Formats: sequence, structure tokens, C-alpha cells
Amino acid sequence: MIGCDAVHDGPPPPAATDEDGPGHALSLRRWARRRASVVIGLWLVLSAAAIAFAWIWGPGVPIEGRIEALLPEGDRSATDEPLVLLTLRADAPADRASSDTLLATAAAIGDRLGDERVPLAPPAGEAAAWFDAHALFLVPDDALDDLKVRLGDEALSAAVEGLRARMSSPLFGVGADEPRRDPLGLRETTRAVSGPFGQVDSLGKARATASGDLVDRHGTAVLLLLDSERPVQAVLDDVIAAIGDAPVDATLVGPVHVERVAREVVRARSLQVAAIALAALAMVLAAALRRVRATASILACLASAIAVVLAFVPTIDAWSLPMLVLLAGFACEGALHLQRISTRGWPAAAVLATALLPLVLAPYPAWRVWGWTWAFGIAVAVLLLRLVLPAIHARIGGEVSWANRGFLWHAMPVTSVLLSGAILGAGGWASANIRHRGADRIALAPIDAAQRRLVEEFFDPALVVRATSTGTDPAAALETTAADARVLAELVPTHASRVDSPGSLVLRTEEIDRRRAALTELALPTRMLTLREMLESRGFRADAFGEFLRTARIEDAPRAAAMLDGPLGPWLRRYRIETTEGAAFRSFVHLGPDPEAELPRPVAADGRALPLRGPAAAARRDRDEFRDWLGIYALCQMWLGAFIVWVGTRSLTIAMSAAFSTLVTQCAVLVAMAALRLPLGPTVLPGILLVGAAATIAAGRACRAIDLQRPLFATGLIVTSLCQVAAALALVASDVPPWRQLGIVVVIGSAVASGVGLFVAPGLCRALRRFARGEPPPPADAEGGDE
Amino acid sequence: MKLSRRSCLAGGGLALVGSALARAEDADDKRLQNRLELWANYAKRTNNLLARLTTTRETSLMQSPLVVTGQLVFQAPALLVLRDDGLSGSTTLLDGGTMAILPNQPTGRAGPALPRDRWPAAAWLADRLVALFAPGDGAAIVADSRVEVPRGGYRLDLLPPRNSEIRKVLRSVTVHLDAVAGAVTEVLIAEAQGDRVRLQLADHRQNVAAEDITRVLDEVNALRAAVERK
Repeated sequence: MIGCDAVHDGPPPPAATDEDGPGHALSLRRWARRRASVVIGLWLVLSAAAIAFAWIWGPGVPIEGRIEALLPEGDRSATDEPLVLLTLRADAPADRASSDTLLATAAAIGDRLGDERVPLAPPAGEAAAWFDAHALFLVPDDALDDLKVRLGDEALSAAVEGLRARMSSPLFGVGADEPRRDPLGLRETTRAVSGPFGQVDSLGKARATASGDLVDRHGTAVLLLLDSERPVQAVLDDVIAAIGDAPVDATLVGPVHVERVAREVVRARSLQVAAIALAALAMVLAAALRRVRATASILACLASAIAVVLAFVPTIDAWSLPMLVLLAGFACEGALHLQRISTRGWPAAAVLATALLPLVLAPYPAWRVWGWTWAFGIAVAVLLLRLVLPAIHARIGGEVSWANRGFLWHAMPVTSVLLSGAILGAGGWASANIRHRGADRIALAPIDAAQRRLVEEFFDPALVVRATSTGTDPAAALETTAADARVLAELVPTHASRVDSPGSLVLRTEEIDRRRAALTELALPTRMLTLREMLESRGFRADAFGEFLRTARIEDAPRAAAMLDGPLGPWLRRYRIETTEGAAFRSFVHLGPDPEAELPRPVAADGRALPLRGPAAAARRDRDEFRDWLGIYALCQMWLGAFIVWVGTRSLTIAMSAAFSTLVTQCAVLVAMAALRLPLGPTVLPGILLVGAAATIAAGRACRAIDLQRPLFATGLIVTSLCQVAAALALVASDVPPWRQLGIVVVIGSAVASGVGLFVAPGLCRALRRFARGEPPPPADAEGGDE
Repeated sequence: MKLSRRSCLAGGGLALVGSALARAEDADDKRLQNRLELWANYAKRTNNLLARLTTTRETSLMQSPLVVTGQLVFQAPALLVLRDDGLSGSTTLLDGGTMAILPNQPTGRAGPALPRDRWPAAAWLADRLVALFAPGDGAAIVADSRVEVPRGGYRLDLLPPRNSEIRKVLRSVTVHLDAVAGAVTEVLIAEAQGDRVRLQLADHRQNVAAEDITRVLDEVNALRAAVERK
């Protein structure tokens, strides 16, 4: 392995750094020491101002869940449309433990909330009446041929005979036969249309109630959709008040519930995670520095840096909390007097600050914000640590310096090249085989029973995506929706399990004219007369089938305007959205449950794209491009880091070694993730970039030390890594799945980064030098102190 | 403690009513036990059963009640076939989880499928019908039901649970038993939409030769296969 000659590596004694010498014209540390009182005073004032701005005078730092903050705005779930699940209490008296109680409660809630309760499905009676009145217009074109056959004399006779034969069965009246509405069984051809609209099977296994809510197949749960601009809790309070003494429980479910749970988790865990991180950092720093005052000073500076960042962060949410914890761990870098990559000692801070800048290009809003926030946070932390820490030490003492300590390392190029080649190869394999985990379906807590019941008995909201159709006015928009609904219906069953669109129940004017002409050819009035005669000749009362016989009228067509003004009008509120350009209606497509399935990209009949928007759509779009973009982010970061190292050292070899080390570290992390069966996705993206930055810095330091033939203080690199690991361990200990995954990635990556910096980077640097010039670098000069 | 006369009378009245109610419940239970014992005397010996069947449906769909004759075939443990005579009728097959109405005319159109989870009322009725002919202690007949035992006659009224989905489709199933043998002689099904279906059984032949049953079942299987092929 790498040989080393010990210079000295004992407990770190306080010592002056070479920066204090006259060779440095401008030094923050020296300046801070000379004006210690001013610096400390300013620090205290600024910290107090930040705290006051954040918590006292300002808006405060609200705690939110923002669990969908990684999804583009247009793909997030609606936050003002909570779903409420009504269930019977376990201790409900036997005479009230029935679906009637649930339906009566749902009606009471509807009365109390008024327009804030939106029909989730078309009210069963109105939808059935609409469908019955227009069934012949709504069947698909290819069903018309079948209809023609079924209306032939022979088929009519067989249908009537079959009906009479089945009537002798005791199951006839309690099964699926609907003789009054459909003596010919024509609904078999129209079920594809009628299914989604409340005839029998409105959504999943549930069915629509008379008021448009959904009741599960056992009659033991009712699902209500609310739409309110009031706070969710206020609406829920109204729901509970409407329930009164009925033995019914109301539980919030769906995306709004997931968001509320996430907020509670963030609220409950934020202090715990921060405390664990602080304790772990204190332990690492105390063990490494062995100075109480130095440890306390560093922690105080870090705390004030976090306070300053919090003053500018709009909320603490599911994503900013772990990033703040990691910020504390990575910022410790600036507190430790480690060897410098350059004379002035800025490249390490710059590499760290720009670590997440590539995420500005990412489609994840939360990470886009954190691309800049991280840079700001690191800048604040480093500035405080370089100004305030020396000032504090100048006043109270306790400074620790690791200058001129460490080992003389001897790089082993062959081993490094072979090792990095193996890791890069394994990383390539891992990146192709690792499982992707999208930004949808992220939950900070396990799914509860009500949420599970929603998915099992009704539908899975995470799979519902939206397509929007617009028009100059509501009727025009609904006609466009009708045309688009036919296109979306083609996604079933290959890509989607269901299309829920009001457009399926109306036709465009030209469609109506075309269909009317086709129906005229069927001579429906004559056929119905024949059917009436046949029924009477077989002993039936023809008038009992009047409901069906009336559907043969083709004068009344399913026009958009008729639906808007008719009894189904209120139901359309669920689909209608306000736009600046007129009116628009949404269609809901229930995608198939396979997350690996391709995202359909439907195109409307007029060539217009019909983009599907929703969490599942965003996740599947992202999945298709994630690996390419991961490469782009990594390359951006690698280039930025290498450029900064090159500017700092003016050595292309060191810069290239640092870049290779970054790539090797990230590949090693991918291999570890594949081995641990951890999914790869946007939730762990910052972790991968941060450990890349840690590797760049470690490699830059090691290569510089080897290049200058100066002692490399390995303990310093390891302590830096341990601080990062300590912060990440707080996330691992949080037991919150996305935080834990991010923590594991950083723990593994930080450990690997220091290892790569120590064992791989020097060898790569030496190999590159031999390759470039065929001889070792010149002996060390005077530059390169501690940071 | 001083008790008023009114209190004493009220207390005594309540005690009498309470004991009368308790006695009534006891009497109901006893009548139910008697009916089930009578039924079980016949049913417990059933390995298979053949009976003549007359089905009468009183419905507003028809100008006059529909009357069809046929055959009831039961084979333990849980296969029940109600087969109409002639090609113009149908065959109702209840076999474990299967519920089907098959047209006797092989070229006829089968009725809609009847999955048990989609049609709880049909499933409830099918379970009762099978249990009425299967050997047992009667627990399967009264399971998931409210049972009323009228004083006169040898009959049981089976009602779906209160406020259930089944109740919205099916009002009651009344079972008439033979006063001597305990065999089921009539099943009257009252549907919520107003139809009444009367299944009258006669000429019971218990534990007939296996080939008699097999012959009917072969016909049913052939019919089923023809419908499935279609």
C-alpha cells in the first residue's frame, strides 16, 4: 500500500500558523485576531438580528411538510381538494352500523358544507338518466355494427326468449339483469363508456351514491371530496360538527393527508435530528480537537450560521431540514485548520459552496432553491468560522493548529489506477442496474389504515394524472374535452386503468350529426316497434320496458351545453378550472400501478399534445431522463470542482486528479447503493453531489501535499469526513425513510471520499504527471499552509 | 325507604313485561330449534336429491305470472342445479363459489356473469338455497340472517341483515317444510322491486343412484361448455 514516514501525529498542541507570518498581505484570520472585540461584537449583533428576523419580528420560520416540493408545480397534487373517508366506528350500535348511517352522515356533511363538498363521481341517478337518454350516441363507433346485428329480427327474438328463460331463475332479480332498462343486453357494448360514470363501477371497486360520493363495495366506508379555500382543519372541524353523535369517524386521506402527516413529522423530528447532529458533531470535534473551548466556539459559529440561513429560508420542510443538518456537518470543514489546496486557502470553500450549483438545472424545485441556498449557507459558515473563530480564540484561547504535522506519503500510481478503474467499472454497472425511486409516493411516515383503505377500496390518488382541455367558453371547453376524452380512452388498458372525464358523456356537434346519420340508418323507431310486438307476443307487458324503448329517440343528443345546464352541471365543478384564456376542464387518467411502465404521451385529434400532469407523470418523466441528467449534474460538479482546484493550484494534473477522485467516489457510492438495494432518485441527489465535493477537496489536499512533498495530515482529512458522517448519522437515526436514505448515501460517500483522497488521488496525480512529463514534480515550495 | 303505590305498580308491570318478553324470546328460540330439528331429520341423510320443481315468478314485467316446471338436483356437499324442462327455459347452477344462469337452448345468450363480490344479494340467496338441501345442523341456513318463525305452519322466514346492501335487493326468503318428513317443499323469495318467486318442490327422491344425478350433471356441464365456447 502507500508507504508513509511519520513526522509527528500526537495530540494537537495550540500553535501559531504560518499565516501569521509577514508573508501574507491579507489574512481574514490575522485581521480578526487583531480586532477580536469588534468581530465578536458584530457577530453577536448579527446573530441576534438573524434570530430576531427569523423568529421574533419577521414572519418566523414556519414548519411545513412540502413533501411534493421535488415535483414541478404543475405536477403536484391539489392542496385545496381534501378527501375525507367516513367509516363506521367499531363500537357503533348494531341497528346503526350500516351504510345508511354513512350515507345519512355524508348528506349531513353536504348540507353543512354546501358548495365546499364536490361530487367525486356523477350522482348515480342523474348519470344513469343521462346515459340512458343518450346511450346510442355515446357508444363507440365500432359498437354500432354490433348494435345493428342485435336489432335484427332474429336477434331480437333470441333476446326476448333468453330474457324469458332467465326469468325462471331465482337469481334473475338479484343479479346483473336489468330487464326494464336493458332487455336486449346492449349495455355489454356500452360498459366501456358507462363504467367510469357511475352506472355500476364508478371508481375502482366503489360505486357512486345518489349524491356523487363513493361508497365501498361492503358499504362500510364513504369517500367525500371537498374543495375549499379555508384551512383544511377548519373544514374538517365542520365535517366533525356535521357528524354529530352519529357513530361515524371522519379521517382525512389522500395527498392533503400525506402533506399533513409530513408536516407533523418535520415538526416532531426537527429538534430531535438537530440535537443528534449537534451531539455527534460535538463528540467528533471534542475527540479530534481535545479542547472544550475550541469545540464550543465552532458549534456556536455553526449555530449562528444556521440561524442566518434560516432567516432567509422561507420554511423548514421535509427537504430543508436534512439539508440544514448536512450544512452543519460539511461546514465544519472551514473550522478545521487543514492543509490548503492553494496559497490563499479558498478553493476548498469554493468547491464546497458550488457543490449543489448543478442542481439549478434540475427539474426539482426544492433542490433548485437549495443549489443557491447551500452556496449561501457555506459562504456564511466559512466566513463566520474564519472571522469569528480566530477572534474568539484570541480572546479566550483554546486554538488548535495542525500545521506542519502529518506523514510523508508516497503515492502508488499503479494501485490507484487499477483501483479507480475497478470502481469506475463497477459504478457503470451499478448505475445501469440500480432501482429508480421517483419523487412521487414519498411519505415521511408509514401509510395508516385509512390511507390504505383509500387505495384498496377506492383508488390510488398517487396514480391519478390530469389532462387539461381549454375553450373560449365552458361549452367549447367541454366539447374539446369530449374530443380529448376519446383519445385518452385509448390509453386503457395498456397504460391506464381508467379515464375519468366529463367529455366521455358529451359529443362535439359534428360528432352528433355524424352519429345521428348513422343511427337513422338503423331505423330505430321501427326496430323498437318490432321489439314491442315481440315482447307482447311472448307474454310480456311492453309498457314495463318503456324506459328502454324511449332510449331509441335520437332527437335528444348529448350536447355540452345541455350537460352544463342540466342536473349534471354541479358535478362538473370537480373538473372545471379557471384560466385566463377562457374555460378549461380537467380529465383524470388513472395510470397503471407499474412504476416502470412508460408514460403515455397522447396527441389530440387536431395534433395538439395532451400532456399528462401529476405526481406519477412527473416521476415517470423524470425516471426516463434521470440517469442522463445525473451524469450531467456530476459532470458539471466535476468540472466546477476541477476548475476551482486548477485556479487555486494552477496545476492541471491536480485538477484532473481531483476530478477523477470525484467520479470514483460517486461511482463507489452507486455501487454501495446497489449492494444495499437503496433506490436512486432525486431524494438522494444532493448527497451524491456533496460527497463528490468532499472527494474533490480531499483529493486536492492530498495531491497538493504529495506534489509539494509536504507532510499530509491524514487525521485532518478523516476528521472532516467524520464531521460529515456525524451529521448524516443524525439523518440515518431519524427513521424517516427519505432522510435515512440521504443520510446513508452521505455516510458512505464521505467515508469513501476521505479514503479516495488519501489512497487513490495521490497515485492518480503521480500517474498523470508521469504520463504528461515522464518525471516527478519539482520539490516543494513555501506555499500551502493550513486552512 | 318508602315506596309509593304507583312505583310498586310500575315496577311490577315492568317485571311482568320483561318476563313476558323473555318468555317470548325463549318460545321463538324453541320454535326455531324445533323447525331446524325437523329440517335436519331429512337433510342429514342427503347425499343427493332429485325433486320436481315448479317455479312461479309474479312480476310486473309479464301480463300473467310465469310458471315453469323443472327439476331440482342437489349433490352433497354444495352443488345445486335448478333445471327447467324444455329448451325455452334455463338452468341455474350453484356450485361452491359459482353462480350462473345458463340458457337451456345451447345457442342462447348466457346471462351476465355473477361474481359473488359484485352481487352480494345473489350470493346471500345462493348460500341459503344450497344450505337448505345440504346436510348440516341448520347453522348455514340462519347465518347472516334474521330469522322469524311464525306460530302456525312449518315454515321459516329468513331475512337479510337490517340496513344491509342485500336488504335493498331482497326482502325475505320463506321456507316451507314438510310437517312429517322435514323436507323443503316450497321456497318463496320476495324481491325488493316487487317480484315474488315461488319454488315448489314435489316428488322428493333422496339418495338416488349416482348415475341419475350424473346424467343431469353431464347435461349441465355440456351446456356450460357450450355457453363458454360461445
